[in-house]
Amino acid sequence: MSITYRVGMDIGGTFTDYVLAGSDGCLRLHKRLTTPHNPADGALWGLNELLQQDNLALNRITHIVHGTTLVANAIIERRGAKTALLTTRGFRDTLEMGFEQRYDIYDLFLRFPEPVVPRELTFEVDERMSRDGLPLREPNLNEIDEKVRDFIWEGVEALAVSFLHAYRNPLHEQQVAEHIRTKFPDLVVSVSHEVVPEIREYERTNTTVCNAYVQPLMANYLDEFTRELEQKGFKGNFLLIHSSGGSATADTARRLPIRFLESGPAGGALLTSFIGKTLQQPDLLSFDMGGTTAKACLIKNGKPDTAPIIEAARVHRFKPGSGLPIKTPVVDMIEIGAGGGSIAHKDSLGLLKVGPHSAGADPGPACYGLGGQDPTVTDACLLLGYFDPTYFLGGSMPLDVTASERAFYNLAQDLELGTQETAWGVYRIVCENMAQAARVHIIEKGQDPRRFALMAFGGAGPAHAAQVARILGAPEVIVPRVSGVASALGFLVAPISFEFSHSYPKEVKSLDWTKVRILYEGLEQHARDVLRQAGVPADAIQIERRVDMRFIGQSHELDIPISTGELSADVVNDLVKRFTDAYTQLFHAALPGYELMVLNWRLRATGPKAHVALDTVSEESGSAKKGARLAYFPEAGGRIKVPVYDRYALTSGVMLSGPAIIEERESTTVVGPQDHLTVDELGNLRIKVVTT
Amino acid sequence: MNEIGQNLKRGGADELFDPVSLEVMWSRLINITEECWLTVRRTAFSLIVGEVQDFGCELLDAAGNSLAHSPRSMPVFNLALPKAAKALLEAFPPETLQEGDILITNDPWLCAGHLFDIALVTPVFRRGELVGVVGSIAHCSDIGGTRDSLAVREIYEEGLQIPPLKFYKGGQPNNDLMQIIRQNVRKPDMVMGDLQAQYSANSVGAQRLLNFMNEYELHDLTPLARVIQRRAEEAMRDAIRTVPDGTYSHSIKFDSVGTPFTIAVHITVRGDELFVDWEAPPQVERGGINSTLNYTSSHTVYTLKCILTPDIPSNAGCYAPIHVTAPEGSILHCTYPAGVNVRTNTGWFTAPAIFGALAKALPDRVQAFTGLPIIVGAYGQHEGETFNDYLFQGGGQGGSAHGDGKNGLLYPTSAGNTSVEMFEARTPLIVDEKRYLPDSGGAGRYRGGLGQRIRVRKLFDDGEPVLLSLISYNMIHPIPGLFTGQAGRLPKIKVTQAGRQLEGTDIKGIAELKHTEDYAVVDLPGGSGYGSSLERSKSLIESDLKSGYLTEDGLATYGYAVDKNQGLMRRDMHPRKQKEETDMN
Repeated sequence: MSITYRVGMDIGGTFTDYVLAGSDGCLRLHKRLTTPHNPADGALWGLNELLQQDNLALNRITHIVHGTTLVANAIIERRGAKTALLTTRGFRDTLEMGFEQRYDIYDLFLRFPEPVVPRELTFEVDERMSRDGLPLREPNLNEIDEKVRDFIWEGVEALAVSFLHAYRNPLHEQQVAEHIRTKFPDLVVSVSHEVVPEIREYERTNTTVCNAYVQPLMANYLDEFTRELEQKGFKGNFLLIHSSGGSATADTARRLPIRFLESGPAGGALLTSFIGKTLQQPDLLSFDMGGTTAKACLIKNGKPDTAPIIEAARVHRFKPGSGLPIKTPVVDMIEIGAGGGSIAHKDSLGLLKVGPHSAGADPGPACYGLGGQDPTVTDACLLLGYFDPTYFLGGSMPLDVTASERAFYNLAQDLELGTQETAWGVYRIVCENMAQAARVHIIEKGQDPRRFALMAFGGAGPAHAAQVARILGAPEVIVPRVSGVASALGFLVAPISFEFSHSYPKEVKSLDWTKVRILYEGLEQHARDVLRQAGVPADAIQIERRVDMRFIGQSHELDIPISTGELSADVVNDLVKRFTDAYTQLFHAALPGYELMVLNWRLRATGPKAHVALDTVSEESGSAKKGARLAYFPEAGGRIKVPVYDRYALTSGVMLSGPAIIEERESTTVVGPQDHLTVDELGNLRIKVVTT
Repeated sequence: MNEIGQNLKRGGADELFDPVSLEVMWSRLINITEECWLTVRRTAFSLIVGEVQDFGCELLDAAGNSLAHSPRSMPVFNLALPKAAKALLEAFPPETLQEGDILITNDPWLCAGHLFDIALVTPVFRRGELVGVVGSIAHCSDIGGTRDSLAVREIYEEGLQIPPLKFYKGGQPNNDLMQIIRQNVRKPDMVMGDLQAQYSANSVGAQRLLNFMNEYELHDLTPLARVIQRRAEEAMRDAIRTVPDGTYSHSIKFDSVGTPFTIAVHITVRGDELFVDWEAPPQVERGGINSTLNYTSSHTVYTLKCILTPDIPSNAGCYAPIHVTAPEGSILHCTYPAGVNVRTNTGWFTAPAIFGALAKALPDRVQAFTGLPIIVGAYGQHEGETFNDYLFQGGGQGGSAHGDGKNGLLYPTSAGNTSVEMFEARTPLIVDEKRYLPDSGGAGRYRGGLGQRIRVRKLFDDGEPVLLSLISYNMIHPIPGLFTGQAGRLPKIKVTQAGRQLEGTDIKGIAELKHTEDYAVVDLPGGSGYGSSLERSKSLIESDLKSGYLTEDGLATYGYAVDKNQGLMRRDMHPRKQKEETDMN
C-alpha cells in the first residue's frame, strides 16, 4: 500500500503554516508569508512549495484541513457583503441598541462598534410569536417582497431574518425564508433559528446578521480554493476547522460561516490535548504567545472547554463589552495584549506598564531595525541575553542590540532604574499579566491553577512559559517539538464534528420528556447529516449531549452532560446531581430547596479520532551545546554565564539543570536557575519549575 | 519573588516599592475584585443583579478606605461602600470581631441612599489581625414596603431597614436576621439567593487577599495601601491643578412628576483641592425622592473622577482632594426619616449641574445632559406564581466635543438593558415595541443621542392585575445642552387602563394593567446637544436623514430644509423658508 498524506494548513494574519503528515509517520513543516489581499492564492503557492520538497502530487493527499482568519477579519475590517435584516415589528433597532451599557464606567466618550446592518437596511415585518411559541400575528409576504426588491436594487447581496422567539417556534421565519429563497434565489439568506436557535434577541440577531454578512465572501473563497485544487488533481477531502475545535466540510462552512469565526486559534488547544493524551497528562494549560497577543486555554480530561459565546471586532481589543457578541460554540480561550511586540511605558502614576499596545510586525520591536523606537518585550528578552541576536528565526533575521538599548534608555531613566533592571521589569510584568489572566480563566472553571502543566508554543511562548508557570504555581512546562507550527499540526488531530442546539427553557420538575426526545432526534438527524456529507460512516459517529442548566432565577448557566441513553423523567435525579456537584465545586455553595431549570439543549456529533505520529525524532548529529552567553537571572545574582543548547541536537533522555537557553529556529526556551529540564522520548522539552 | 516582603521587613518605607513591583501588586488587587464580580454575576438570582449588573465589588484597607474596585461596577457603589464599611466598623470595632463575621446594612444614610442597596462587608483576618475588608453592594430585587414609592411620607413605608448587623457570626449564619428578611420581602428565595451570591463573592475575595499577602509575605496591607492611595491622590491633584483657580457655578431646573426643583452647584478650585457646595431646596415630605448626603456626594465625586482622571484606577486617594457639602435638611442632604427610595429623581441631576459648571474651563472634558433611564418594573401573579422583574433601558447620551451622543445608553448607572425575550419569558407581559425615537436627540454641532419608546401590555386575558412601576424623571423642564446645544426631547408616559387614558404627570409612578388592551407607552428622553446646531456639518445631517435618526420635521433647527429639486439645502438659501427661520430664532 502506498503512503498517503494529509495536510494541515493555518492561514494566519502574517504567516501561513503547513504540516504534511504521511501515513508512514513522516512530518514535514513549511511556513510562508500570507497574501492578505487574496489568501487562497498564497495558500496554494505555499502548498505547492511544500509538496515539491518531496516531489509529491496533489492526488496523493487524502485530506487538507484548513484554518482561516477570513471570517474574523471580514467582520473586523468590514469587508463582508451588503446585508439587510428583516426583524419583528417594533424591533428595528435591536442591533444598534446592543446592551445599552457602558463598558468603561469612567470614560464619558465611549465608542461602540457599528452594527453590521445599518438602520436603513433593516425592515420590520408585521409578525409576532409569543414567548410560548404561539403565533400572534402572521407575516404578510407581499409586503416583504416589495421591500426585498428595494434592498436588491440598493445592492444588497445577503439577507438576515431574525424574529422574536423564533427559537421557540420558527414557523414565521421558515415561511419568510422559504418565500424569499424561492422568489429571490440569488440572495443569500441566513435565518436566526437555523444559525443560533437560542433565547436573547440581541445576541441571536447579531450572530445571524454576521453569518449573512460573511456568507458570500466565504462562498467565493471556498469556490475558488476548491476549484483550483480540483484542477490540480486533488481528489481528497477538503475540511475546515470550526471554532469549537472540530473540522467540517466546505458545504457546512458555506451555510454557517459564523461557526468558523475562530478557525485558526483552536489549533494550538487541539494539539495540546493531543500531546497531553500521548503523555498521559489530560489536564494542561495551553499557552500560545505570539507577536501581539497571548492566548491560554484550559484542557481538562483531554479536551478543551467550549464556550457558547465570543465577542468579535472589539473597539478596544482588550475591553470586554466593546465588541459584537457572537453566539457560536468556541474553544474557550482567553486572549490578552501580551506578545513579543507589546510596548512598555511608564504611566501617569509612575508605574511600569507593558501592552496592550503592540509594535506588531511593522515596525515591530526596536531590535528588528525596521524603524521601531519603542521598548518592547522582544527587546527586553534580547537585553536580558535570552535571545541571540544572530539566531533569530534561525539567523534569517539579525537583531540590532543597540537599537534595543536605545529604546530602553529613556524608559530606564524615567523609572530611575538600570537598563537591565528595566528589561527584567518588563519581562516580569508581561509574565505577571499573562499569569493573572490565566489564573482568572482557570478559577472561573472551578479549577486550581497549581494543578496544570503549561504547554508552551508560539514564537514567544517558550521564552516566557517557565516564569508564567512560576507565578501560577504550576509544576511543569512542556515545549513540544514543532511548536512553531502548532496550530496547523493541531488541525490534523481534529476529528470531524459539529454541534447543534435548541432552546427549550423549562423547570426540571415539569419537563416534557417526549418533547425533549423529539427535539434531540431532530438535532441528531441534523448533525448526522453534516457528518455523513463529510464522509463519516454512520456507525463511526459518536453523539454527546449537554444542557445549559441553572437555578431558576439565575441568568448564568452551567454546562452539564446529560445521559446518552433513553431520555425520560428517570434521568432527572442524575441530572440534578451532576448540576449540584458542579455548582458546589465552582461556587462553594449548595442551595438546597432551590428549583432548577434547563435552557438550551446541545448535541455534538463527532467522527473518528484523527492521528499523527509524533514519535520519530529526526536527530541531527553534533554537540547539543552551542556555547554560552551572559544572561540576566536575578535569582542567581544578576548577569551570569548561561549555557546555550541546540534544540535539534538534544536527544531523548538528556537532562539539564537551569539556567539554560535552548534555541530552535522559531523560538527560544528559557530555563530558570533552579529549574530542571529533561527531553522526553517524543522530543518534548519538559521543564520542572521551582516555585518559591 | 519576595523583594517587597524583604523590603517591608527591613524598613517599610514606601519608596521601597519600585515601579515594577508596585504595578504587579496593584493589578493583583484589581484582579481580586474582578474575580468577586464574576462570582456575583454567575450566581445571582434576579435579573436586576445577574443580568442588568446592578452591583459592585470592592477591596478596602483595614480602616475601610478603598484600594480597588471591580472594573465593571455600579459607580455610586464604589464610593458608597467605603462609607458603609467605616460605619459598620464603627458599630463593630475590629477588636470585637472574629473570623467568620460578616456585616450587613442597607441604611440609606450609611450606604447607597435607598433600602434596596444592601452592603455585605467581610472583614479579613490574618494571624488574628484585621488586615483588610472585602465588600459588595447589590440592588436586591425587593425589600418589602410599598410598590407606590412616590406616595410615601417616611422611610418606614419603603420596606425593611437593616441597621448595622452581623449577617454571619463566626462562620454561622445569623438565622434570626435571615428569617426577618425572608418574611419581609416579595420572592424571598430570589432576595436570599442574591445575598448568597454576595456572600460567595466576598468569601472568594477574602481568600484571594490572604493568598496574595502570603505570597508577598505582607503582614500588613497598610504600607502598600498608603502608596497606591498616594499615587492616585497625586494624579487627582495634578488634574485639579490644570483647572484654573476660581469658583464655577451652574444651576439646573428639573421636576419630579411635575413638581419643579432647582439645584445649584458651586465648585471652588483652590490649587489642588476642589470644594463642591450644593444649594438645594428643603427635603420633600412626600414622594421619597430625597437624596442622602452619601448618595449626593458619591454622584458628585464620580462625575468629577470621569472628568478629571478617567484613566486612573480608582481608590480612596482619588477622592481625598474633593470635598462635598450640601445643606442639611435639603433634597440633597435629607435627614431621617425622610423617604428616599426614588433618590435618583434628585441625585441624577447632579451630573448635568457639574458639567455645566465646568464647561467653560474644560470644554472638551464635559458632556451635555444624558437622557435618564426609565426602569419599568412588573409585579404580579401568574398561574399561582409571583413575578417581579425589571425592564431596563437608557435615554440618549449627551453630545460632547468628541461627537454625537450614543442613541439609548444607560447612564449614570453602569447597568445593561434587559433582553426583551428574557423579560417576556419571566413575566406574562408582551413588549410590542422597543425602538429609537427619531428627532428626539437635542440638536447641536454634536447632537444628543436618541431616546427610545417602549410599549408594554398584558399577554393573557386572565383578569390578574399587573402592577407596573413607571418612575420617570423630569417630565416638564428640558435640560439645555452645552454651548447653545439644545435640549433633548422630554420623556413621556402614557397608560390606558380599562379604557381610560392617563398621561404624563397624571401617572404617579405606578399603573395597573388588567386586560390585554391595557398598555403602557414609555418614551425615554433624548440627550442634549453640544455646540450650536447651525454649525452641524451637512454630511452628518445627511447621514442622520438616511438612517432615519432625523426626519424632515427635525431639519429646521439645523437651518436646513429639503428642496424637491436640490435636495438638502440651507434654509437661508431658500427664499420661502427664510421667514420661518426668523420666527424660530
